[in-house]
Amino acid sequence: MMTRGVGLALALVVLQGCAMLELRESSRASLNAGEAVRLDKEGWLALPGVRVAVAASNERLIAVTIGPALLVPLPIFPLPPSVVETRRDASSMWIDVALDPEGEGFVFDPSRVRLRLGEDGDLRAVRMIGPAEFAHLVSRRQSGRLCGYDPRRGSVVGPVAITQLSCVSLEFDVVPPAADTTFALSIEGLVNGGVPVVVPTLAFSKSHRWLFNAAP
Amino acid sequence: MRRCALARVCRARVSALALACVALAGCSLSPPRIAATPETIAVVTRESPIVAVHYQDIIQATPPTDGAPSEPRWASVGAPTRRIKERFLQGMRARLPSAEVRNVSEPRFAYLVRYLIPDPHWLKRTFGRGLAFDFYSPRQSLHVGGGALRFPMMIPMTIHARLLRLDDLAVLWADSCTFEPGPLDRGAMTLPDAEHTYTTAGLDRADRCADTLLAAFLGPGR
Repeated sequence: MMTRGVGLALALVVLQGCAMLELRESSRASLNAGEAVRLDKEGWLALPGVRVAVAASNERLIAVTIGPALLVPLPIFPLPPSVVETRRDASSMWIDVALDPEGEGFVFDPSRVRLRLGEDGDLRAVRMIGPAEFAHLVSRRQSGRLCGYDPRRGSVVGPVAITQLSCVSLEFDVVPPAADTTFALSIEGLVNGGVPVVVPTLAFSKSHRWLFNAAP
Repeated sequence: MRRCALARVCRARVSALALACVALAGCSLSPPRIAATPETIAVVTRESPIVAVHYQDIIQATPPTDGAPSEPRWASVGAPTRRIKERFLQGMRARLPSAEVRNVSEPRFAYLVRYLIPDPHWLKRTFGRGLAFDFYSPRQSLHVGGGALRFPMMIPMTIHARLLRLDDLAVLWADSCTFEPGPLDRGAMTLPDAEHTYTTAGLDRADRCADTLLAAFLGPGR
């Protein structure tokens, strides 16, 4: 009877799986205090006729705990992040720019986007992917990226028409900086019917987020 | 006593299972069909602007990564929406020449909502006012590789078509059509659309679907 009980308990643990709690750090965009516009809770910047959001791909897992998830998830056992982290160190920096335009008149020229990063100075994107679908909520939450998958292998950085909620990934030829390195992104080249849309410079600084996952 | 308690637990589990089945069945419901009235046809002949859009019908995907995308392992494929839309419009121009519909060539991204059909709010945000025909096909997942492939379980392709009034997002007409996709050429799956992965016979069946939708929209006598 005792053996059967233990077996049942083990089976339940296996069937119910584990819970995992991750602490990730990355660089998050913000605006200077003096700007007239604000970023909303989801990171959108509301400008005349268009919303803009950006995300940098320098996220790193810094702590993780795991534990059983029977009735109440108890991720209480710490693990080394390297055991869980599946992402490889990237050799280049990707920044996603999501655009939600109103109307059909918007054109975005990513060649006029500049990444200002310490001694590397002003960097231009060397490759772009998209416009692609804006990633769905679960994907954004898991990956920290804004752009959905686009199978095109990347193209020459140049102007694209933006007629719907969509996302462009820009590659910069620089190793992704640590989250505590500050950098800035200036987005020029966004035009509506020939009229430039002024996007305030976005400053990136260290940010944390918790991620709760089931680990079957 | 113990047997009685177990029976209650079993009954509760069966009830929960039945409830889950009902909930899942609800998820698979198709959007309601709305027949076009003579007034709807009259509105189409006099309203301006009218646009016709189709939703992206193929996506090759892998899980998101930090760096550049890797080779896709699977693809989501739907009916050839662009072709069906254009066939529908061609037929409408012939049978309802007074209707002026602008064919939007760029596929739309499908942001799905209730009934797992695209959210018309995004059409209003782009086109502002007037009427919009939209054509959407739920996609099915396939492993990507070379050669021909039949869909798992041979599920027919469905295409949903609607006429929306953008001012208030009212659905003036909604219908759907299904057809047998037949074998597809997996090796030909590239953006921008799924059309070239279909065989000639598959495309003929898709064309007939477009004709069926047009007949349903215009009604008898046109």
